[in-house]
Amino acid sequence: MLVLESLEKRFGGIQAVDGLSLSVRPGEIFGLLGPNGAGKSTTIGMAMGLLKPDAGRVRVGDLGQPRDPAVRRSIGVAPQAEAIYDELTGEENLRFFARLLGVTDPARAATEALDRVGLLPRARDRARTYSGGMRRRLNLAAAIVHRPPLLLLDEPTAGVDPQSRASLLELVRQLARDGAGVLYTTHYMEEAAKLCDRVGIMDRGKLLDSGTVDELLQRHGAETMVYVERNGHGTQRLATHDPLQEVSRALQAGDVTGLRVERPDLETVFLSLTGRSLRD
Amino acid sequence: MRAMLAIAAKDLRLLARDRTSAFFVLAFPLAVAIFFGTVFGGGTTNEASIRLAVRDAGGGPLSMGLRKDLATRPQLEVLPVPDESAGETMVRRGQASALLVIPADFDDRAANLLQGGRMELDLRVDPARNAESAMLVGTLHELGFRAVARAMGDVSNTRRMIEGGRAAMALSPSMTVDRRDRLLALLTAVDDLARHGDLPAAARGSGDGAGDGPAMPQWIVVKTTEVRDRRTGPSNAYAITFPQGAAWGLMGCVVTFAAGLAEERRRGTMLRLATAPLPLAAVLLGKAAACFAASLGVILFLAVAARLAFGVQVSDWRLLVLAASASAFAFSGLAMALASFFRTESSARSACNAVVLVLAMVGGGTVPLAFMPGFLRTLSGFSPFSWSILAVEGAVWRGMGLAEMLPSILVLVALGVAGMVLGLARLRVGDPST
Repeated sequence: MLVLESLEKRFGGIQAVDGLSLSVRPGEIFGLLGPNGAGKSTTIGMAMGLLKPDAGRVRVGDLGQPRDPAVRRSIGVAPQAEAIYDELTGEENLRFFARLLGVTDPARAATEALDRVGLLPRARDRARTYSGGMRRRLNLAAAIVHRPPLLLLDEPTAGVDPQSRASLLELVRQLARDGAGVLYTTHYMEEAAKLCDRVGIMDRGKLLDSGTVDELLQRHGAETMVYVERNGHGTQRLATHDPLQEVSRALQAGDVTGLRVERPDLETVFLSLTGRSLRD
Repeated sequence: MRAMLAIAAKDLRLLARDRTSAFFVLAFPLAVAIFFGTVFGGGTTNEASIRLAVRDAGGGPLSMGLRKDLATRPQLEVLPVPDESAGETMVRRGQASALLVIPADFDDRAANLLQGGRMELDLRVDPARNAESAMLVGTLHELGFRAVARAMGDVSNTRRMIEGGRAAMALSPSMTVDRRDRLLALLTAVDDLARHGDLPAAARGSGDGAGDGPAMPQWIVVKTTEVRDRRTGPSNAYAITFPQGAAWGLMGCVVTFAAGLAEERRRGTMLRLATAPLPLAAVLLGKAAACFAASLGVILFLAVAARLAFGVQVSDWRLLVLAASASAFAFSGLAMALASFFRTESSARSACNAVVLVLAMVGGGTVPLAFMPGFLRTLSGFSPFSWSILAVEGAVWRGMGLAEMLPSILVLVALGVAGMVLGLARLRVGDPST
């Protein structure tokens, strides 16, 4: 659905994106995970045709490159900022974006998109009266109002409460199940781990590695830690590639008062790949 | 096209819901027009340049002397015209502040000054230029007295006056013999002096002392009339101030819409517009269309308000729509050019306020052009403000035809196109969404 090949982008003396290649298949959620300034938004900018790569190319399916206005109809964009008009109602916002995107029946498209994100009961209210989570949902609705096969979502859950986040993530999963390819940037590793079929780890403009979460953990994750508490012996810390076997062995030995298994996560992967924490 | 109209409709809806902008677009210009209409008046002047059309119907030495005196005045630019009609046309078109007609009998009347005669000057002024008119009247009185002094200092003219005086006294039935004899003795003495070239220097036309001393007879009369469309003319002061108020309204639109792009960037919606399947030109033109519609609405709203509430007569509504359209187009171009330069709303609004204020000043919106230095008067040709006022006045009370209005219309359209092209060129540089 989306192919990025050897993309490079430089702003003055800063190499924002350095030889990045990835692909997003239909129905797949590809997560770009990296700290602020890693080059995620620049990559999204090139994928949506807003920025011209210094080198490399972007292709959207068989349609061509996204700087072509016709190709842009196939792309839905949810920017990091809530790109909506506060003084317009939810319905007016979506009708406007639908018209802009060449939808033949903007009213119907707006209603369907509002229904999909659960905002139909508030359709006639101005966006400025919406809660943060509702505004995020409207932002996402504007990306899907024309039913595009490719979605570029740039940190769409930034700054929302956990409940709204869960609702947004479920919506993205539904869209992928309906066949849309999704390129999803985030700096929340839990979100990437829960939502994405594949994850690319980005830092300083480079895509360091990509794959399923399990593949990444296998390649770069440290061993699973098993913590065993025994009566009078304190807590024993065991590193293992086979936590099940380790737990079984501990239980057979007896006198276990507590057990805790700590699986490595994408933070560990990032640490392994970059030598520093994702949260630094 | 559909997308452009959608942008325009959306922007107008946003304008209607932004009370501050709506105030500056509608209420503020109305207040300006009413304010200036109430306090409309002249001013004082020192260094200035007033374009004065001059028709010399006499061509005698005194009228030629007057023309030369006018030409030496640094604040006057004398434009000789072949006939009165040509001069009036220049005034109506705003190419001259006034027309001075020196009557055919200007020199002849000098011979009758001692019998209570007067030398008349006919000044036909632009009603929209009160300050310049007042200044012209003062200047003409001064130079007229200089012409009188010249008439007095000319020996043959003085002797003609004396002969005329003698003849008049001889025919006067009411004058006593004693009084007649004393006056004849006086005239004989003056005649004797004139024959021997002993007239005082002041009387020979140096002119500077013409207004000194005790009360002088009113030998110079400057008759002032307004050049106006014969059917309507400026029906009242509001007819003159409403076009100016409309221009201020247009500037309100410029400030509002020039900040529009920065506002879209701040919201993040510019990214959606920039990634929509339409060229960047359509985004800018869509915004320009909204600015155009609002600007046109402002002018027509003010015109209707002026007609209904203040009794202003509009000479030609069709030409008013044309002038309003051209003005709205020019100011939309200006808005788009300004919009492309600023990234944040606050900077856009501040800068636009400053730019439009300067353009208004340069265009004569706050101070008459005649009071400005030469380079600013040259710059006024680039201000849509002055062209817009001239075009709207042309349709409201100057009685212009299409041909007369065409230069203003073309300049406004050219300014609008230049603004759009500049705006587009700027928008294409770099990432339009940031």
